[in-house]
Amino acid sequence: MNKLSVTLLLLASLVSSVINAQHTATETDDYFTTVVASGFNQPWAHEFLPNGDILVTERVGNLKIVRDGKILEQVVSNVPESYYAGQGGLLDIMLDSDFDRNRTLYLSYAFGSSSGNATRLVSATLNTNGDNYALENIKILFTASPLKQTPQHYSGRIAQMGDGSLLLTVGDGFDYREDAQRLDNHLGKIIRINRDGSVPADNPFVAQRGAKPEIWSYGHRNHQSLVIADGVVYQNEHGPKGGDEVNIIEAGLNYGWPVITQGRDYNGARVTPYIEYPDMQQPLVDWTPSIAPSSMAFHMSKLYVTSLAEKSIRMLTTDGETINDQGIVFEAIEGRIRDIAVGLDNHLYVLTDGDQAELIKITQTLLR
Amino acid sequence: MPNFLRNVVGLVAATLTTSVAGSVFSTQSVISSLRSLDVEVPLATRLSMTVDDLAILPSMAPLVAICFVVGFIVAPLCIRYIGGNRTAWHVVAGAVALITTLLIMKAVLLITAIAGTRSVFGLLSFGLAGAIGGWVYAKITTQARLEK
Repeated sequence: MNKLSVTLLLLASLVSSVINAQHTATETDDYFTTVVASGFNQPWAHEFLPNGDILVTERVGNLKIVRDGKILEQVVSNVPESYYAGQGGLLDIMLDSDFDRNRTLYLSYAFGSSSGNATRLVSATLNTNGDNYALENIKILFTASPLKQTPQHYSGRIAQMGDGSLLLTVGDGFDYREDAQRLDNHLGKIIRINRDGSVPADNPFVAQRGAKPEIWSYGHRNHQSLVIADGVVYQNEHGPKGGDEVNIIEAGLNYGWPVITQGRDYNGARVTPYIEYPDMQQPLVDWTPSIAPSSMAFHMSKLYVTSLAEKSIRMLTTDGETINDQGIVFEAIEGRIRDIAVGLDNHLYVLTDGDQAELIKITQTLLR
Repeated sequence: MPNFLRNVVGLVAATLTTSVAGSVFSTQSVISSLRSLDVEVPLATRLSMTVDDLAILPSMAPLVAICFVVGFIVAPLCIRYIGGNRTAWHVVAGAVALITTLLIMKAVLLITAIAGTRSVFGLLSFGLAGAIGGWVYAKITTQARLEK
Protein backbone atom coordinates (compact mmCIF):
# COMPACT_ATOMS: atom_id res chain seq x y z
CA MET A 1 0.00 0.00 0.00
CA ASN A 2 1.53 3.34 -1.04
CA LYS A 3 1.65 6.52 1.07
CA LEU A 4 -1.28 8.09 -0.75
CA SER A 5 -3.48 5.06 -0.02
CA VAL A 6 -2.52 5.11 3.64
CA THR A 7 -3.21 8.83 3.87
CA LEU A 8 -6.61 8.46 2.22
CA LEU A 9 -7.48 5.55 4.50
CA LEU A 10 -6.56 7.53 7.61
CA LEU A 11 -8.51 10.50 6.33
CA ALA A 12 -11.58 8.36 5.63
CA SER A 13 -11.27 6.81 9.08
CA LEU A 14 -11.01 10.25 10.69
CA VAL A 15 -14.05 11.58 8.80
CA SER A 16 -16.00 8.44 9.69
CA SER A 17 -15.17 8.73 13.38
CA VAL A 18 -16.16 12.41 13.41
CA ILE A 19 -19.49 11.59 11.75
CA ASN A 20 -20.13 8.76 14.21
CA ALA A 21 -19.23 10.94 17.17
CA GLN A 22 -21.65 13.64 16.03
CA HIS A 23 -24.36 11.06 15.49
CA THR A 24 -23.89 9.65 19.00
CA ALA A 25 -23.74 13.07 20.59
CA THR A 26 -26.95 14.17 18.90
CA GLU A 27 -28.82 11.03 19.72
CA THR A 28 -27.79 10.86 23.35
CA ASP A 29 -27.73 14.52 24.29
CA ASP A 30 -30.97 15.68 22.80
CA TYR A 31 -33.22 15.23 25.78
CA PHE A 32 -34.41 16.95 28.90
CA THR A 33 -35.41 15.65 32.31
CA THR A 34 -38.32 16.48 34.56
CA VAL A 35 -38.64 15.56 38.22
CA VAL A 36 -42.10 14.00 38.50
CA ALA A 37 -42.02 13.45 42.26
CA SER A 38 -39.41 13.37 45.00
CA GLY A 39 -39.00 12.18 48.57
CA PHE A 40 -39.16 8.42 48.19
CA ASN A 41 -37.41 6.38 50.85
CA GLN A 42 -35.30 3.59 49.29
CA PRO A 43 -37.60 2.88 46.34
CA TRP A 44 -37.04 -0.27 44.29
CA ALA A 45 -39.50 -0.26 41.42
CA HIS A 46 -42.35 1.66 39.82
CA GLU A 47 -45.32 0.78 37.67
CA PHE A 48 -47.79 2.85 35.66
CA LEU A 49 -51.53 2.45 36.13
CA PRO A 50 -53.81 3.01 33.11
CA ASN A 51 -55.39 6.08 34.80
CA GLY A 52 -52.03 7.85 35.00
CA ASP A 53 -51.23 7.10 38.63
CA ILE A 54 -47.81 5.63 39.31
CA LEU A 55 -47.17 3.05 42.03
CA VAL A 56 -43.73 3.01 43.66
CA THR A 57 -42.43 0.31 45.97
CA GLU A 58 -40.26 1.30 48.91
CA ARG A 59 -38.15 -1.43 50.47
CA VAL A 60 -39.40 -0.55 53.93
CA GLY A 61 -42.75 -1.96 52.81
CA ASN A 62 -44.73 0.95 51.42
CA LEU A 63 -46.50 0.95 48.07
CA LYS A 64 -46.76 4.66 47.34
CA ILE A 65 -49.05 6.42 44.91
CA VAL A 66 -47.91 9.26 42.67
CA ARG A 67 -50.81 11.30 41.35
CA ASP A 68 -50.50 14.55 39.38
CA GLY A 69 -46.86 14.92 40.39
CA LYS A 70 -47.42 14.43 44.10
CA ILE A 71 -46.81 11.51 46.42
CA LEU A 72 -50.07 10.83 48.24
CA GLU A 73 -49.86 10.54 52.00
CA GLN A 74 -52.07 7.47 51.89
CA VAL A 75 -50.23 4.37 50.69
CA VAL A 76 -51.81 1.34 49.05
CA SER A 77 -53.30 -0.70 51.89
CA ASN A 78 -53.03 -4.42 52.61
CA VAL A 79 -49.52 -4.74 51.18
CA PRO A 80 -48.04 -7.98 52.57
CA GLU A 81 -45.49 -7.49 55.32
CA SER A 82 -41.95 -7.92 54.07
CA TYR A 83 -38.65 -8.63 55.81
CA TYR A 84 -36.85 -5.30 55.72
CA ALA A 85 -33.13 -5.92 56.28
CA GLY A 86 -29.97 -5.76 54.20
CA GLN A 87 -31.12 -5.76 50.58
CA GLY A 88 -34.51 -7.15 51.57
CA GLY A 89 -37.94 -5.59 51.80
CA LEU A 90 -40.66 -4.82 49.29
CA LEU A 91 -39.10 -5.18 45.85
CA ASP A 92 -40.74 -5.34 42.42
CA ILE A 93 -44.22 -4.55 41.15
CA MET A 94 -45.73 -5.50 37.79
CA LEU A 95 -49.24 -5.26 36.38
CA ASP A 96 -50.67 -8.33 34.73
CA SER A 97 -50.77 -8.07 30.93
CA ASP A 98 -54.55 -8.29 31.24
CA PHE A 99 -54.77 -5.75 34.06
CA ASP A 100 -57.51 -3.71 32.39
CA ARG A 101 -59.85 -6.66 32.80
CA ASN A 102 -58.59 -8.53 35.87
CA ARG A 103 -57.04 -5.67 37.96
CA THR A 104 -54.28 -8.11 38.94
CA LEU A 105 -50.77 -7.08 39.86
CA TYR A 106 -47.73 -8.94 41.15
CA LEU A 107 -45.38 -8.04 43.97
CA SER A 108 -42.07 -9.57 44.96
CA TYR A 109 -40.57 -9.11 48.39
CA ALA A 110 -38.28 -10.60 51.01
CA PHE A 111 -40.29 -12.89 53.21
CA GLY A 112 -39.35 -14.25 56.63
CA SER A 113 -36.87 -13.24 59.31
CA SER A 114 -33.17 -13.30 60.11
CA SER A 115 -33.39 -16.98 60.97
CA GLY A 116 -35.00 -17.89 57.65
CA ASN A 117 -35.99 -15.73 54.69
CA ALA A 118 -36.63 -15.98 50.97
CA THR A 119 -37.74 -14.19 47.81
CA ARG A 120 -41.52 -14.42 47.49
CA LEU A 121 -43.97 -13.61 44.70
CA VAL A 122 -47.63 -12.81 45.28
CA SER A 123 -50.56 -11.77 43.12
CA ALA A 124 -53.27 -9.39 44.27
CA THR A 125 -56.23 -7.49 42.96
CA LEU A 126 -55.91 -3.71 43.02
CA ASN A 127 -59.21 -2.26 44.14
CA THR A 128 -60.12 1.39 44.30
CA ASN A 129 -60.98 2.62 47.77
CA GLY A 130 -62.22 6.18 47.36
CA ASP A 131 -59.22 8.10 46.08
CA ASN A 132 -56.88 5.37 47.23
CA TYR A 133 -56.14 1.76 46.55
CA ALA A 134 -56.26 -1.50 48.46
CA LEU A 135 -54.88 -4.92 47.65
CA GLU A 136 -57.32 -7.80 47.88
CA ASN A 137 -57.32 -11.50 47.03
CA ILE A 138 -53.65 -11.73 47.89
CA LYS A 139 -52.30 -15.09 46.84
CA ILE A 140 -48.81 -16.44 47.44
CA LEU A 141 -47.63 -17.76 44.10
CA PHE A 142 -44.06 -18.73 44.96
CA THR A 143 -41.59 -18.75 47.84
CA ALA A 144 -37.97 -19.65 47.15
CA SER A 145 -36.72 -22.76 48.89
CA PRO A 146 -34.88 -23.40 51.10
CA LEU A 147 -35.06 -20.44 53.46
CA LYS A 148 -31.71 -18.74 53.93
CA GLN A 149 -30.24 -16.71 56.77
CA THR A 150 -28.51 -13.87 54.93
CA PRO A 151 -30.52 -10.70 54.12
CA GLN A 152 -28.72 -10.24 50.80
CA HIS A 153 -29.14 -11.15 47.12
CA TYR A 154 -32.89 -11.59 46.84
CA SER A 155 -33.00 -10.33 43.24
CA GLY A 156 -36.82 -10.34 42.85
CA ARG A 157 -37.44 -8.87 39.39
CA ILE A 158 -40.70 -10.01 37.73
CA ALA A 159 -41.49 -10.34 34.02
CA GLN A 160 -44.38 -11.84 32.10
CA MET A 161 -44.02 -13.99 29.02
CA GLY A 162 -46.29 -13.91 26.00
CA ASP A 163 -48.21 -16.95 27.22
CA GLY A 164 -48.98 -15.19 30.50
CA SER A 165 -46.54 -17.20 32.61
CA LEU A 166 -44.38 -15.30 35.08
CA LEU A 167 -40.61 -15.16 35.41
CA LEU A 168 -38.96 -14.22 38.71
CA THR A 169 -35.29 -13.75 39.44
CA VAL A 170 -34.12 -15.38 42.69
CA GLY A 171 -30.66 -14.41 43.93
CA ASP A 172 -28.02 -16.70 45.34
CA GLY A 173 -28.29 -15.39 48.91
CA PHE A 174 -24.59 -14.34 48.88
CA ASP A 175 -23.27 -17.03 51.22
CA TYR A 176 -24.94 -19.81 49.22
CA ARG A 177 -23.38 -19.16 45.83
CA GLU A 178 -22.68 -22.80 44.96
CA ASP A 179 -26.43 -23.47 45.21
CA ALA A 180 -26.81 -21.47 41.99
CA GLN A 181 -25.41 -24.58 40.26
CA ARG A 182 -27.63 -27.06 42.10
CA LEU A 183 -31.08 -27.77 40.76
CA ASP A 184 -32.50 -28.99 44.08
CA ASN A 185 -33.09 -25.41 45.28
CA HIS A 186 -34.25 -22.03 43.93
CA LEU A 187 -31.21 -19.91 44.82
CA GLY A 188 -29.41 -18.31 41.89
CA LYS A 189 -32.20 -19.16 39.44
CA ILE A 190 -34.84 -17.66 37.22
CA ILE A 191 -38.08 -19.43 37.95
CA ARG A 192 -41.18 -19.66 35.76
CA ILE A 193 -44.68 -20.26 37.04
CA ASN A 194 -48.19 -19.75 35.79
CA ARG A 195 -50.34 -16.85 36.96
CA ASP A 196 -51.97 -19.11 39.54
CA GLY A 197 -48.63 -20.34 40.90
CA SER A 198 -48.73 -23.73 39.21
CA VAL A 199 -45.76 -25.03 37.27
CA PRO A 200 -45.91 -24.89 33.46
CA ALA A 201 -45.69 -28.35 31.98
CA ASP A 202 -43.00 -27.25 29.52
CA ASN A 203 -40.53 -25.98 32.12
CA PRO A 204 -37.09 -27.44 31.33
CA PHE A 205 -36.53 -29.47 34.51
CA VAL A 206 -40.06 -30.68 35.20
CA ALA A 207 -39.15 -34.26 34.41
CA GLN A 208 -35.73 -34.24 36.09
CA ARG A 209 -35.71 -36.12 39.36
CA GLY A 210 -34.62 -34.03 42.32
CA ALA A 211 -34.81 -30.75 40.42
CA LYS A 212 -37.17 -27.95 41.42
CA PRO A 213 -39.76 -27.85 38.63
CA GLU A 214 -40.07 -24.05 38.72
CA ILE A 215 -36.46 -23.57 37.54
CA TRP A 216 -36.22 -21.97 34.10
CA SER A 217 -32.49 -21.08 34.06
CA TYR A 218 -29.66 -21.30 36.58
CA GLY A 219 -26.14 -20.19 37.47
CA HIS A 220 -27.14 -16.61 38.40
CA ARG A 221 -25.87 -14.40 41.21
CA ASN A 222 -27.92 -11.28 41.96
CA HIS A 223 -30.02 -10.50 38.90
CA GLN A 224 -32.16 -7.44 39.44
CA SER A 225 -33.19 -6.90 35.82
CA LEU A 226 -35.41 -8.90 33.53
CA VAL A 227 -37.00 -7.55 30.37
CA ILE A 228 -38.89 -9.38 27.66
CA ALA A 229 -38.98 -7.73 24.23
CA ASP A 230 -40.03 -9.33 20.97
CA GLY A 231 -40.04 -12.68 22.74
CA VAL A 232 -36.41 -12.35 23.85
CA VAL A 233 -35.63 -12.45 27.58
CA TYR A 234 -32.90 -9.99 28.53
CA GLN A 235 -31.37 -10.14 31.97
CA ASN A 236 -28.52 -8.50 33.80
CA GLU A 237 -26.89 -9.35 37.07
CA HIS A 238 -24.48 -8.00 39.60
CA GLY A 239 -21.11 -9.69 39.67
CA PRO A 240 -19.03 -9.34 42.82
CA LYS A 241 -15.99 -7.08 42.26
CA GLY A 242 -16.31 -7.02 38.47
CA GLY A 243 -18.17 -9.55 36.42
CA ASP A 244 -21.46 -7.68 36.00
CA GLU A 245 -23.27 -9.30 33.09
CA VAL A 246 -25.98 -8.87 30.50
CA ASN A 247 -27.41 -12.13 29.19
CA ILE A 248 -30.12 -13.35 26.87
CA ILE A 249 -31.87 -16.09 28.81
CA GLU A 250 -33.01 -19.35 27.28
CA ALA A 251 -34.83 -22.13 29.09
CA GLY A 252 -32.68 -24.76 30.76
CA LEU A 253 -29.32 -23.06 30.24
CA ASN A 254 -26.58 -22.61 32.82
CA TYR A 255 -25.21 -19.07 33.11
CA GLY A 256 -22.15 -20.13 35.04
CA TRP A 257 -22.07 -18.44 38.46
CA PRO A 258 -19.97 -19.20 40.51
CA VAL A 259 -17.96 -21.54 38.27
CA ILE A 260 -17.25 -18.89 35.65
CA THR A 261 -17.05 -15.14 36.20
CA GLN A 262 -14.80 -12.22 35.31
CA GLY A 263 -15.29 -10.90 38.81
CA ARG A 264 -13.46 -11.46 42.07
CA ASP A 265 -14.64 -11.50 45.64
CA TYR A 266 -14.81 -8.11 47.32
CA ASN A 267 -11.56 -8.83 49.18
CA GLY A 268 -9.77 -9.50 45.89
CA ALA A 269 -9.74 -13.31 46.11
CA ARG A 270 -10.76 -15.40 43.14
CA VAL A 271 -14.25 -16.86 43.12
CA THR A 272 -13.11 -19.47 40.64
CA PRO A 273 -10.13 -20.12 38.40
CA TYR A 274 -12.38 -20.13 35.33
CA ILE A 275 -13.90 -17.54 33.03
CA GLU A 276 -15.28 -20.24 30.77
CA TYR A 277 -16.33 -23.84 31.27
CA PRO A 278 -18.15 -26.44 29.15
CA ASP A 279 -21.95 -26.07 28.93
CA MET A 280 -21.93 -22.66 30.64
CA GLN A 281 -23.08 -19.52 28.84
CA GLN A 282 -20.82 -16.55 28.32
CA PRO A 283 -22.28 -13.11 29.08
CA LEU A 284 -23.08 -11.00 26.03
CA VAL A 285 -21.81 -7.95 27.89
CA ASP A 286 -19.39 -7.99 30.81
CA TRP A 287 -18.69 -4.98 32.99
CA THR A 288 -15.39 -5.31 34.82
CA PRO A 289 -14.93 -3.22 36.90
CA SER A 290 -18.51 -3.30 38.13
CA ILE A 291 -21.14 -0.72 37.32
CA ALA A 292 -23.71 -2.48 39.59
CA PRO A 293 -26.65 -2.80 37.16
CA SER A 294 -29.95 -2.28 38.96
CA SER A 295 -32.65 -2.27 36.31
CA MET A 296 -33.26 -2.40 32.59
CA ALA A 297 -35.88 -1.22 30.11
CA PHE A 298 -36.45 -1.84 26.41
CA HIS A 299 -37.36 1.34 24.56
CA MET A 300 -37.37 2.15 20.86
CA SER A 301 -35.36 -0.98 19.99
CA LYS A 302 -32.69 -0.25 22.61
CA LEU A 303 -31.94 -1.51 26.08
CA TYR A 304 -31.33 1.00 28.85
CA VAL A 305 -29.48 -0.20 31.95
CA THR A 306 -29.36 1.80 35.18
CA SER A 307 -26.48 1.44 37.59
CA LEU A 308 -25.82 2.07 41.24
CA ALA A 309 -22.03 2.13 41.48
CA GLU A 310 -21.36 3.88 38.18
CA LYS A 311 -24.36 6.16 38.82
CA SER A 312 -25.27 6.04 35.17
CA ILE A 313 -27.66 4.93 32.48
CA ARG A 314 -26.13 2.92 29.66
CA MET A 315 -27.67 2.35 26.26
CA LEU A 316 -27.26 -1.05 24.61
CA THR A 317 -28.18 -2.09 21.10
CA THR A 318 -29.32 -5.60 20.30
CA ASP A 319 -30.46 -7.72 17.40
CA GLY A 320 -31.99 -10.33 19.69
CA GLU A 321 -28.86 -12.48 19.60
CA THR A 322 -26.01 -10.11 20.37
CA ILE A 323 -25.82 -7.02 22.59
CA ASN A 324 -23.47 -4.07 22.28
CA ASP A 325 -22.85 -1.50 24.99
CA GLN A 326 -23.04 1.95 23.42
CA GLY A 327 -21.95 3.72 26.58
CA ILE A 328 -23.43 6.20 29.04
CA VAL A 329 -26.41 8.36 28.06
CA PHE A 330 -28.57 10.93 29.86
CA GLU A 331 -25.58 12.15 31.87
CA ALA A 332 -27.63 14.96 33.38
CA ILE A 333 -29.14 12.41 35.75
CA GLU A 334 -26.78 12.05 38.68
CA GLY A 335 -26.46 9.68 41.60
CA ARG A 336 -27.25 6.03 42.13
CA ILE A 337 -30.12 4.97 39.89
CA ARG A 338 -32.41 2.20 41.08
CA ASP A 339 -35.06 1.61 38.42
CA ILE A 340 -36.05 2.42 34.87
CA ALA A 341 -39.28 1.78 33.00
CA VAL A 342 -41.22 2.99 29.99
CA GLY A 343 -44.27 5.09 30.85
CA LEU A 344 -47.65 5.07 29.19
CA ASP A 345 -46.57 8.20 27.30
CA ASN A 346 -43.70 6.19 25.77
CA HIS A 347 -41.03 8.09 27.67
CA LEU A 348 -38.44 6.64 30.00
CA TYR A 349 -38.83 7.15 33.74
CA VAL A 350 -36.09 6.49 36.28
CA LEU A 351 -36.08 6.19 40.05
CA THR A 352 -32.99 7.32 41.87
CA ASP A 353 -31.77 5.44 44.94
CA GLY A 354 -31.55 6.37 48.60
CA ASP A 355 -33.72 8.04 51.21
CA GLN A 356 -34.61 11.20 49.27
CA ALA A 357 -35.11 9.54 45.91
CA GLU A 358 -36.71 11.10 42.87
CA LEU A 359 -38.86 9.88 40.01
CA ILE A 360 -37.52 11.50 36.86
CA LYS A 361 -39.01 11.60 33.38
CA ILE A 362 -36.64 11.64 30.42
CA THR A 363 -38.02 13.33 27.33
CA GLN A 364 -36.04 12.51 24.22
CA THR A 365 -36.87 15.38 21.93
CA LEU A 366 -35.75 13.52 18.81
CA LEU A 367 -38.44 10.91 19.41
CA ARG A 368 -41.32 13.38 19.57
CA MET B 1 17.58 -6.73 69.86
CA PRO B 2 15.47 -4.67 72.31
CA ASN B 3 12.35 -6.37 73.61
CA PHE B 4 9.99 -3.80 72.06
CA LEU B 5 11.57 -4.24 68.66
CA ARG B 6 11.51 -8.01 69.08
CA ASN B 7 7.77 -7.82 69.84
CA VAL B 8 7.20 -5.73 66.73
CA VAL B 9 9.19 -8.16 64.60
CA GLY B 10 7.24 -11.02 66.16
CA LEU B 11 3.94 -9.30 65.41
CA VAL B 12 4.89 -8.58 61.81
CA ALA B 13 6.17 -12.13 61.27
CA ALA B 14 3.07 -13.64 62.86
CA THR B 15 0.79 -11.39 60.81
CA LEU B 16 2.49 -12.29 57.54
CA THR B 17 2.55 -16.00 58.35
CA THR B 18 -1.11 -16.08 59.32
CA SER B 19 -2.19 -13.94 56.38
CA VAL B 20 -0.41 -16.19 53.90
CA ALA B 21 -1.70 -19.35 55.60
CA GLY B 22 -5.24 -17.95 55.81
CA SER B 23 -5.20 -17.01 52.15
CA VAL B 24 -3.93 -20.44 51.14
CA PHE B 25 -6.50 -22.22 53.33
CA SER B 26 -9.31 -20.02 52.03
CA THR B 27 -8.39 -20.78 48.43
CA GLN B 28 -8.44 -24.51 49.14
CA SER B 29 -11.85 -24.17 50.77
CA VAL B 30 -13.24 -22.28 47.76
CA ILE B 31 -11.81 -24.88 45.37
CA SER B 32 -13.26 -27.64 47.51
CA SER B 33 -16.69 -26.00 47.15
CA LEU B 34 -16.26 -25.89 43.38
CA ARG B 35 -15.21 -29.54 43.30
CA SER B 36 -18.38 -30.40 45.18
CA LEU B 37 -20.15 -29.20 42.02
CA ASP B 38 -18.09 -31.70 39.98
CA VAL B 39 -15.95 -28.87 38.60
CA GLU B 40 -12.51 -30.18 37.70
CA VAL B 41 -9.60 -28.21 39.15
CA PRO B 42 -6.23 -29.67 38.10
CA LEU B 43 -3.23 -29.25 40.39
CA ALA B 44 -1.61 -26.58 38.21
CA THR B 45 -4.84 -24.54 38.23
CA ARG B 46 -5.12 -24.97 41.99
CA LEU B 47 -1.57 -23.73 42.50
CA SER B 48 -2.07 -20.82 40.13
CA MET B 49 -5.23 -19.69 41.92
CA THR B 50 -3.58 -20.14 45.31
CA VAL B 51 -0.72 -17.84 44.31
CA ASP B 52 -3.08 -15.38 42.65
CA ASP B 53 -5.19 -15.14 45.80
CA LEU B 54 -2.22 -13.84 47.76
CA ALA B 55 -3.35 -10.53 46.29
CA ILE B 56 -5.69 -10.27 49.27
CA LEU B 57 -2.75 -9.89 51.69
CA PRO B 58 -2.80 -6.05 51.69
CA SER B 59 -6.43 -6.09 52.85
CA MET B 60 -6.15 -9.10 55.13
CA ALA B 61 -2.88 -8.32 56.95
CA PRO B 62 -4.07 -5.16 58.79
CA LEU B 63 -7.11 -7.06 60.07
CA VAL B 64 -4.94 -9.95 61.24
CA ALA B 65 -2.52 -7.54 62.90
CA ILE B 66 -5.33 -5.91 64.89
CA CYS B 67 -6.57 -9.35 65.97
CA PHE B 68 -3.10 -10.30 67.13
CA VAL B 69 -2.51 -7.06 69.06
CA VAL B 70 -5.61 -7.86 71.11
CA GLY B 71 -4.84 -11.57 71.36
CA PHE B 72 -1.20 -11.06 72.34
CA ILE B 73 -2.19 -8.57 75.04
CA VAL B 74 -4.64 -11.06 76.50
CA ALA B 75 -2.29 -14.08 76.29
CA PRO B 76 0.29 -12.76 78.84
CA LEU B 77 -2.57 -11.94 81.22
CA CYS B 78 -3.73 -15.55 80.97
CA ILE B 79 -0.22 -16.78 81.64
CA ARG B 80 0.08 -14.46 84.62
CA TYR B 81 -3.27 -15.24 86.25
CA ILE B 82 -3.93 -18.81 85.10
CA GLY B 83 -0.45 -20.11 84.42
CA GLY B 84 0.64 -22.67 81.88
CA ASN B 85 2.83 -22.86 78.82
CA ARG B 86 3.58 -19.52 77.18
CA THR B 87 3.73 -20.85 73.63
CA ALA B 88 0.50 -22.78 74.11
CA TRP B 89 -1.31 -19.65 75.31
CA HIS B 90 -0.14 -17.66 72.29
CA VAL B 91 -1.22 -20.47 69.94
CA VAL B 92 -4.67 -20.43 71.55
CA ALA B 93 -4.77 -16.62 71.50
CA GLY B 94 -3.93 -16.54 67.79
CA ALA B 95 -6.63 -19.07 66.91
CA VAL B 96 -9.32 -17.53 69.10
CA ALA B 97 -8.55 -13.99 67.91
CA LEU B 98 -8.98 -14.98 64.26
CA ILE B 99 -12.14 -17.02 64.74
CA THR B 100 -13.73 -14.43 67.03
CA THR B 101 -13.02 -11.64 64.56
CA LEU B 102 -14.56 -13.61 61.69
CA LEU B 103 -17.65 -14.37 63.76
CA ILE B 104 -18.01 -10.72 64.77
CA MET B 105 -17.66 -9.64 61.13
CA LYS B 106 -20.37 -12.08 60.13
CA ALA B 107 -22.66 -10.85 62.91
CA VAL B 108 -22.16 -7.23 61.84
CA LEU B 109 -22.12 -7.64 58.06
CA LEU B 110 -24.75 -10.43 58.05
CA ILE B 111 -22.69 -12.16 55.35
CA THR B 112 -19.35 -13.98 55.28
CA ALA B 113 -16.65 -11.58 54.14
CA ILE B 114 -14.08 -14.29 53.38
CA ALA B 115 -15.75 -16.95 51.23
CA GLY B 116 -13.36 -19.65 52.38
CA THR B 117 -14.67 -19.35 55.94
CA ARG B 118 -18.35 -20.02 55.17
CA SER B 119 -18.06 -23.64 56.26
CA VAL B 120 -17.08 -24.86 59.73
CA PHE B 121 -14.02 -26.47 58.17
CA GLY B 122 -13.06 -23.18 56.54
CA LEU B 123 -13.56 -21.27 59.78
CA LEU B 124 -11.44 -23.77 61.71
CA SER B 125 -8.73 -23.59 59.06
CA PHE B 126 -8.52 -19.86 59.72
CA GLY B 127 -8.23 -20.71 63.39
CA LEU B 128 -5.30 -22.95 62.47
CA ALA B 129 -3.73 -20.07 60.53
CA GLY B 130 -4.13 -17.90 63.62
CA ALA B 131 -2.61 -20.61 65.80
CA ILE B 132 0.43 -20.80 63.53
CA GLY B 133 0.82 -17.04 63.83
CA GLY B 134 0.58 -17.30 67.60
CA TRP B 135 3.31 -19.92 67.60
CA VAL B 136 5.58 -17.77 65.43
CA TYR B 137 5.05 -14.78 67.73
CA ALA B 138 5.73 -16.85 70.84
CA LYS B 139 8.93 -18.32 69.43
CA ILE B 140 10.34 -14.97 68.32
CA THR B 141 9.47 -13.17 71.54
CA THR B 142 10.55 -16.09 73.73
CA GLN B 143 13.97 -15.76 72.16
CA ALA B 144 13.92 -12.13 73.32
CA ARG B 145 13.16 -13.16 76.87
CA LEU B 146 15.98 -15.72 76.86
CA GLU B 147 18.50 -13.19 75.53
CA LYS B 148 17.47 -10.86 78.32
